[in-house]
Amino acid sequence: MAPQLILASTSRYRAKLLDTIQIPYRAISPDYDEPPLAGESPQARSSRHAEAKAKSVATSANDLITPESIVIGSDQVAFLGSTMLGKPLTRQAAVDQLTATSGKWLAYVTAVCLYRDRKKIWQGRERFDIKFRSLTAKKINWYVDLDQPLDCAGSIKAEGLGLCLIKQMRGRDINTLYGLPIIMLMDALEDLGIAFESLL
Amino acid sequence: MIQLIKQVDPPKAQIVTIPEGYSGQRIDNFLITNLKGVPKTRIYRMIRKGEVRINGGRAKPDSRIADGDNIRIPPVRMAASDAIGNFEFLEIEKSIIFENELMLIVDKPAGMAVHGGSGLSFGVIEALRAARPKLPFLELVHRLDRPTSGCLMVAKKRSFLKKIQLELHDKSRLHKYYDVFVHGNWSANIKEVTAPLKKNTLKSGERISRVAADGKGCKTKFSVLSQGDGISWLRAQPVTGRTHQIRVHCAHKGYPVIGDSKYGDELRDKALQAPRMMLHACSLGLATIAKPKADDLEGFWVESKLDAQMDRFAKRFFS
Repeated sequence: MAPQLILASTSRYRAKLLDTIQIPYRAISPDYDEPPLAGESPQARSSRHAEAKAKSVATSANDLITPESIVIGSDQVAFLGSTMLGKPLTRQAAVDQLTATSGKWLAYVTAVCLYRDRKKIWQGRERFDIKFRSLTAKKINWYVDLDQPLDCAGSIKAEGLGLCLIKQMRGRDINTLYGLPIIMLMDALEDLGIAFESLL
Repeated sequence: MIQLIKQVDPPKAQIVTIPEGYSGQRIDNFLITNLKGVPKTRIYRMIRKGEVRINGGRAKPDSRIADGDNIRIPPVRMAASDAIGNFEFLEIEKSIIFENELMLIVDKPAGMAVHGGSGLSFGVIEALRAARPKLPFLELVHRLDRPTSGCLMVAKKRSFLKKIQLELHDKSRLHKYYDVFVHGNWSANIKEVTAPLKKNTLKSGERISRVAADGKGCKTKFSVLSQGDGISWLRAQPVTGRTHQIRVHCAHKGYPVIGDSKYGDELRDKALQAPRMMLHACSLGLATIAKPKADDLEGFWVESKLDAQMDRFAKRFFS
């Protein structure tokens, strides 16, 4: 039997989280553009992207999904005050991000949107905050070289070496920071009357 | 592009065929040894409930297994993912394409390491030792890169290992040939590449080779077997055996190996949807000598066909 859960994401971090809870799934890459909208809040943006990813797979990947499949779209944004921090992609951008967040609280918001049979059936958002230590330029350079956090919003891999940069954490579910709020996803399945065991 | 990235299937029962060397062992001991990390109580419960079957019939704890028996092992879910029973080493038997009392030659699948380490705990040599517990000596004669498929020689006697390694250095008798698909239309004038290579280990532990004036002397012979649309099928014969030699020599001449994630061309690989690195050790042989002395090694010649992925690729692009 093909897995019922579909992850509309290419992120290896999200796939790893689903691996942890041992649910069978398929990861399918969504196909959509990410044009920023003027005046859009980071929260609204993450919800819009989570929905676009889920919708793209739910409506186009006909040969990879069934009408029973639950398609998960998810998107994470990190923001400092009202400034959004994306994936740094270059070493210099990662150093700049960490210099800006030194000693401050950084908020992560991860949106989840579920589709089934081409229709949106659930959506939600979860927040998680981390407070950075005061970071010297030396420590920032040491960290970026060693951990290469170039594909991580906020330039930190908090599940590993990034812990050295953190003073405090706040939130219900640290998986929100890792890329997929697993506890909220379980809430969603419960809301929809889908038994966890039926997905195994 | 919408495409499948990864699939995790629900656990399934596995059917394992017992190779030579296990006959007479009790089924409970066989499972305890091979389902590492699974508690014994759990193993006895699965036997008691009839989930373990030998050739279709229910097994008892004291049932004995024999060569060629088909054993059904139910799916085992453990919270720690590395505790799940791994019978892959038994599959290695099917890859042995030549064997005598001195050595065996494995048709190594692409993606499998020749030995453990580098983040992998299990390679061809560990699988062979596990599958042939009664052989006291098993050592790799040479290596193949993880993404490369094809002939890999393993010594069963120390004396053979010493002799064949001399042949590897001497080169006059031992011949290795590779099928390699590269980007670009290879110029037939390039019959050999002799660029010296220097080995480097990056901070990350990754090994790379590059062409350097102060590198070690190197030689690869090439001939063109077929030309496609902007790609070529070459037969390569490495005369020396440096790290990643064929891959670096091809890239150095401007014809990177298709699907080579280290020295290749990612954009062109994507355009061709290359499913693997297109490098296959297609034959391995030791030339026979006219008047052998008593302690000379006997000649042999072993060939391995392209695997399904490379064969499909060849049919698509070299018509």
